[in-house]
Amino acid sequence: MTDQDHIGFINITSLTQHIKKLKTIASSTISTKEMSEILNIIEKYLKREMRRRNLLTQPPSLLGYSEFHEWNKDSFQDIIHDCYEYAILTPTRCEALKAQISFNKNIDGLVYSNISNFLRDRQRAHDPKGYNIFKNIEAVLQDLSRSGEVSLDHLRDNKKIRNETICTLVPPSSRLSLPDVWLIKQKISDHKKFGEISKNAVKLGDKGQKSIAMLIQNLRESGINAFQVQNFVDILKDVFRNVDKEISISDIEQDPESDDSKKLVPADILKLSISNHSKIELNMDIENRYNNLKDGIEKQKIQKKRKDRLHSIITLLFHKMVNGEYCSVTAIAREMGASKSTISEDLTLIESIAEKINRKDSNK
Amino acid sequence: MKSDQKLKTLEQKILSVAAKSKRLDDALSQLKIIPERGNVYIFNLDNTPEDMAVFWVILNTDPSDPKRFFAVPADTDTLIGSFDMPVPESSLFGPLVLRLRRGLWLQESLLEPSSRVGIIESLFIDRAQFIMSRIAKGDWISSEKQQATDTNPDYEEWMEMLDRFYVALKKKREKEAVAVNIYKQIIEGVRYLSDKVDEFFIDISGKGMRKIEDAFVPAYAYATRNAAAVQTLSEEDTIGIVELKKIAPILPVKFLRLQNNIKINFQWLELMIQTAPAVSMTLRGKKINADDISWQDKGNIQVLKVSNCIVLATEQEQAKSLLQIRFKDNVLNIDILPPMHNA
Repeated sequence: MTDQDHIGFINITSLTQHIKKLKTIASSTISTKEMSEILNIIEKYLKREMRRRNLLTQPPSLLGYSEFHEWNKDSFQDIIHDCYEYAILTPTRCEALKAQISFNKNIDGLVYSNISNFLRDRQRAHDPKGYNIFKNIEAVLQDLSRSGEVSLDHLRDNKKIRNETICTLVPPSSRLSLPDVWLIKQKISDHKKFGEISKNAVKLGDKGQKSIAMLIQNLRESGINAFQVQNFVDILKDVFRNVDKEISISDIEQDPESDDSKKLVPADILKLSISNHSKIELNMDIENRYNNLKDGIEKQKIQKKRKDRLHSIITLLFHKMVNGEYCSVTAIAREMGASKSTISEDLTLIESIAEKINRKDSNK
Repeated sequence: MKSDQKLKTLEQKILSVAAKSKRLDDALSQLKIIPERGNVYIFNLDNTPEDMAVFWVILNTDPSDPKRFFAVPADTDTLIGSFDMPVPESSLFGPLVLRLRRGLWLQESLLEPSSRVGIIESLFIDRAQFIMSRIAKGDWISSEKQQATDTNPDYEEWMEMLDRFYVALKKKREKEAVAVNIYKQIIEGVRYLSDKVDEFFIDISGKGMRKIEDAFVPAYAYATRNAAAVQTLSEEDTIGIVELKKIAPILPVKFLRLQNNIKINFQWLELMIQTAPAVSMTLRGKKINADDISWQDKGNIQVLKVSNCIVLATEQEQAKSLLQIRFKDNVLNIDILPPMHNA
């Protein structure tokens, strides 16, 4: 029996039962034995996926486990628990698994997909530059391959570009050999637009992908015939890390609208006394406040168009608030298609309606 | 943290998931049978990837048809593109990402209470509707981060998989629409033929069949024997079917075109598994291959599927194609006719 068969076999019997149980579970009903059996299954899935992504040879810090220097019993224990929580205990993922069971479908695939997404999300969060560079390269190579400008070998997982993939920039020849890594590194560092490229390539998106395409074109023109994707990614990570240390993770991941100098705290505008600005539980109070504000807006003697906009603004504010996010007049104005002064007036009106509601509530 | 402590933390989290699930169940049990804005459904769809689960969230009702609902797909992946809207974990059915650009209008008959698995608060539905309205006007400007996600190959791949669910539900919707409408036609047709109806015999030739064929290609003949099929019908159709059942026990018969011949698939609905009878079939006196006959368990309904019965195309030959289904206690005969416009 192969490792894969074995995992599948355990999964059907134990994991399915475990997920069925989660709905009505009480703490006393989970035995330590059962829990460790489930975690063993997760571990097997996880290790298989980490091996596939070449993560077992990378430091744990790449996935956010910076307190560990290598993958050992302790570091694995941490990641297995986090993985179980993400893949099985996230409420909607758990509901999806339960539905899959009720459809008589095998849940192996769904669990495995959740685990794969868990690793991807950890990589995105803790090694955003590496993730973005790889995804930009993948996108560019897909395009170049479709247009016949490069040929790709050693594809994996349903013909996907992976670390071991070899990209050939010239018509295939039997005597093709990969150039030394230092040579590629040299060509990249010598690019006349290196500064601009290094800034863009670590950001996911069109700009980053254009920069990568420029580099590949430059390699071709410099007589480089081929490269391995992993080498290319490592070189870029390495050279960009040295050159562009001022690009922080937040620069890459943060939404530009949060750079707005005048950050608004939605709860302040909605006159809700929430002490910490963080994700909050959507409870009846919040829902009631939302509905009361909607009623309050409806009662205003203002144009319907403005009422509609006010409704949309409070929906946005509540949405931002429960997500623990700030907003800004600029961002709201952009979304509503209105000027900043109009939005400022709208926010003032919302604040006054919210205050009235507060006064009413305190008089009750 | 020690191993025991870690296990304890996990147990606490399991309890909190169970508590949330209980809150959700309580909220679901309060709902009316008819679908409502914010209700979340999940369907068992053919030809969809097994390693992905897609929910469908109702955003609104058609103002001109209260039995028609607009639903968008939603999933638990964390990649958020330009036309997606996240619902946070604090929602009763969160976290979730609504994929707003792939919505579908669904008939009420598709939205069975048993497929309803969640509720999303109006706050998030309002927000989704606002974004939808901006998208429709071409005024929606997503964040740079969302635009960057649009170009992420992981996201593109996820959207391609999601499209398979979209296509599958669209197909299911089309079938359902045909099925619902066909019941009306059949009711009329069978009523007309009621004089000819013998016990366990339905002649679906004649006016009834032609009416159906006029309306639908490929032609469908539909019928039901018991309450199971009625569950998927609207109230109006249910009344009609109840009337129909007084006339005859009926079997749903689905015709599909297959080049010059017709491939037919039969579906027999049984409410209880125990009552699903053993069956043997003959077509024009020849026994149908046992491999082509199967019972499929669909929750509390058993569906009998008969596949690959190639019946002849011309009406003359077809007239001889009497299908005989032998159950333990009785025999069902069905006369099959080709669609009117068959080549």
